[in-house]
Amino acid sequence: MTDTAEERVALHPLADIDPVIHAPARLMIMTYLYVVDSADYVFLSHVTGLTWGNLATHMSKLEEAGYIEIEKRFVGKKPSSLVRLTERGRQAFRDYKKIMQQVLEELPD
Amino acid sequence: MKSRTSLKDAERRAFASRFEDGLVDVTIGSLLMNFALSPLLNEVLGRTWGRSLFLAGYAVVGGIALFLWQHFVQPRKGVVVFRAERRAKVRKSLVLIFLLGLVALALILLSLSGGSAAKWTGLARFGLMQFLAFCAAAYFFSVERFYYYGLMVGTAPVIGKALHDWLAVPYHGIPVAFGAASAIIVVTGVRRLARFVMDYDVPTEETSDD
Repeated sequence: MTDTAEERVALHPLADIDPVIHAPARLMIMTYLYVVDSADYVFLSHVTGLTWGNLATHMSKLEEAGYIEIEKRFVGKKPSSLVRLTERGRQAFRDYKKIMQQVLEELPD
Repeated sequence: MKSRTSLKDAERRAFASRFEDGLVDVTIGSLLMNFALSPLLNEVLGRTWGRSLFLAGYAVVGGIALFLWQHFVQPRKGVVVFRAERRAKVRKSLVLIFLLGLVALALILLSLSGGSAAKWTGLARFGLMQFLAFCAAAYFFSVERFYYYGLMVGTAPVIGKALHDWLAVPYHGIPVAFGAASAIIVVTGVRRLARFVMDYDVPTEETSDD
């Protein structure tokens, strides 16, 4: 009686939720990166309200998953890292959105 | 549909955050203050020096704004590049605001040659164009307080004329009416800027993976 992966997903769409994106802090980061072209750590920390350490931890996870790319550069004499979603990250966010919409719309009131 | 609205809101919030530090308010208010003080400068320094100082005032305000941006605002706020759609929208909004400003300027110049009634009408239209310019900025940049600024700056020409005609306030009431409106805008901006600088430290770290 083992279900195939596809059947499991059809029966339980939540099982297919991307855990990398689903964490609230990373979801905030992904949302802001999805709606802008690119941003640095300072801006992301500012709009998400995450501390520097928290932001760096979540960024590492997103980078490991291949969802973001980081471009090192200088603003004046100070180093700055500009972050943007990769095409893979953008697609993962679209998929996440689609699944969450489907799950939430089908839930009874 | 709900998530589409929410993403749109997130983008709007991210863009509107560019205006929360008050630097734009300080800059706009100072430029208007320069305009408000120009009749006094002409009187005290003579036309040539007064006009030179008036033009130099715009450069000084621009320079100070740039200094504040580079040393106080950007290090705390960070860098963000918006998507092409937003950049196009900003360009269109700025063109619209610029055109409204040009129409306002043309109206004020035309009103100078008319009689008293024409001056009232001209000043009212000038004020209306200024009001519309601020409303356009408020709407397209999602900054609510610009509506109030528009109301203050838009009514300033007519208030100035009324002060001049009824209370004999000199220089067509410009220093008083525009001065009051610009002072309120500058004070609002300075308060926001001070709060922003106090609330947000300049991060000392760079990215964790350096």
